[in-house]
Amino acid sequence: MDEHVYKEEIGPKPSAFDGLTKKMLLLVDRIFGKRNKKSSHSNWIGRIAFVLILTAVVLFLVKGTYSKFFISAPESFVEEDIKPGDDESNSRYANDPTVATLSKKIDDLEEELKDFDLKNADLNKPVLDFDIDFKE
Amino acid sequence: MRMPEICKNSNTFFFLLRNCIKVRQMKKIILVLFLLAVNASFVHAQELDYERAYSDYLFKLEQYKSEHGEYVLAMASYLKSKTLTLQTKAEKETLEMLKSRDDVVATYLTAIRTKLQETSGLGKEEKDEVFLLLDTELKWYLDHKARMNEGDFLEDLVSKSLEAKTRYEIESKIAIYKALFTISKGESKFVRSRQEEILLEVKNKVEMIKNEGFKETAIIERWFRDIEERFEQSKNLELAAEEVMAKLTPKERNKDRVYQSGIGDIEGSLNKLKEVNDFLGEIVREIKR
Repeated sequence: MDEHVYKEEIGPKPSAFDGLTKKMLLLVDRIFGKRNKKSSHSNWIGRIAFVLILTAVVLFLVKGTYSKFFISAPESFVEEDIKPGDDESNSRYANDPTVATLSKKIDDLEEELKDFDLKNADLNKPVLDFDIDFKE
Repeated sequence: MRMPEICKNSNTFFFLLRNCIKVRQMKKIILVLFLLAVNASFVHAQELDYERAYSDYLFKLEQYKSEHGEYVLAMASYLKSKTLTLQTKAEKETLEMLKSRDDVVATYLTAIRTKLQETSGLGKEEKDEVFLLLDTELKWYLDHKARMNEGDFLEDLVSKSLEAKTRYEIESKIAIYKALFTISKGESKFVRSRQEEILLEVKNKVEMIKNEGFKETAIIERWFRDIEERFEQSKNLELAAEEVMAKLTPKERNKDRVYQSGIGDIEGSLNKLKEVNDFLGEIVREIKR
C-alpha cells in the first residue's frame, strides 16, 4: 500500500500530539459520557469544552501561585505615591555621588530628628520627700 | 635585676658590657612603658560617662525609695507610741533616709553634668557657666550629708531636712533647669550646624550644576532663601528661650513654669529645623529630577 492510499483509507500518520489528544478525549468521555464516534460535530464541541476548562484551570492555578505578580505589583505601584518629576532614571544628576551623599546625610538627620527628646524625659527631676515632720 | 648569662662571661665582658647595659636599659624602658600603659588604662576606666553616671543615679534612687519606706514605718510607729526605743529607731531611719536623699540629688546633678559634658553644639563658656552652678550644688549636698551624724536628735534632723528643702527649691532647681535647658539648646544648635554644613554643600553642588548649564537652577536658588529664613526663625526662637530662662532667679517662685516656657521655645526652634530638613530633601530630589 502506497502512501497515498494509506492517507485516504486510514488517514494521516498519527503524531504524538494526536495520541495525547485521544487520551484527553477519552478522559472527557469518561467525565461527560461516551462520545458519539460517528458525529464529528460533538467531537469538536467536546474538544473545545475540554480546552476551555483546561485553560480556565491553568489560569486559576497560575493566578493563585503568582498572585503577587497579578495583584500586589499594581497595588504597590499605586501606593508609592509617585509625584510628577520623581522619575529620576533619565536625569543627569540622578546617580551623582555627591548628590547621593547629601541625600544620605539628610535622611540620617531625618531619622535622628524623629527620635528627638528635647525634654530629656529620662532626666526628669527625682520625686523626693522634703517634708519631714514628727509632729502629730 | 638578674644579669643575662652572656654578661657573666669574663672574656667577652668588655665587649658585651655595652650590649648588656643596653639589654638592661631596654628592660627598664619596657617596664616603664608597661606601667604607663596600665596607668593609662586605669585612668580611662575611672572616667565617668553619662551612661555610668545615670545608672549610679538610678541605683541611688532605688536605695532612697527603700530607705524612705523604712523611715515612714519608723515614723508611724514612733508617733503611735512615743517610747525611747522607737524614738531612737525613728532617728536612725530618718538619718539614713536623709543621707540617701542627699545621695540622690548628688548623683542626679552628676548625671546631668556628664550629659552636658557629652552634648555637642555648645561652646566651652556656655558649658562652664552651667558646670559652675552644678558643682556648687553638688558640693553643698556632699557637705550637707557629711554634717549629719548619728548623734543628731529628731529636731536636728528635721531642721537639716528643711535646709535641704530650701536649698533644693531656691538654688538647686535653677542649676538643674539651666543645665537641662542648655543640653536641649545644644542639641538643637548641633542639628542646625549640621544642616548649615549640608546647605553649604548643596549650594556648591547647585553652583556647579548651574555652571554646567544642563539644568535650570533658579527655583532651587529661590528655595535656599526659604531655608535661610527658617534658620533665622530658629535662632530667634533660641534667643527668646534664653531671655525666658534669664528670669530663672532665686526670687522666681514658679521656676517650673519658666523652664517649661523656655523649653517650649526650643521645641519651636527645632520644629523650624525639621522644616529645613524637609526642604533640603526636596532640593536634593529636584536636583536628581
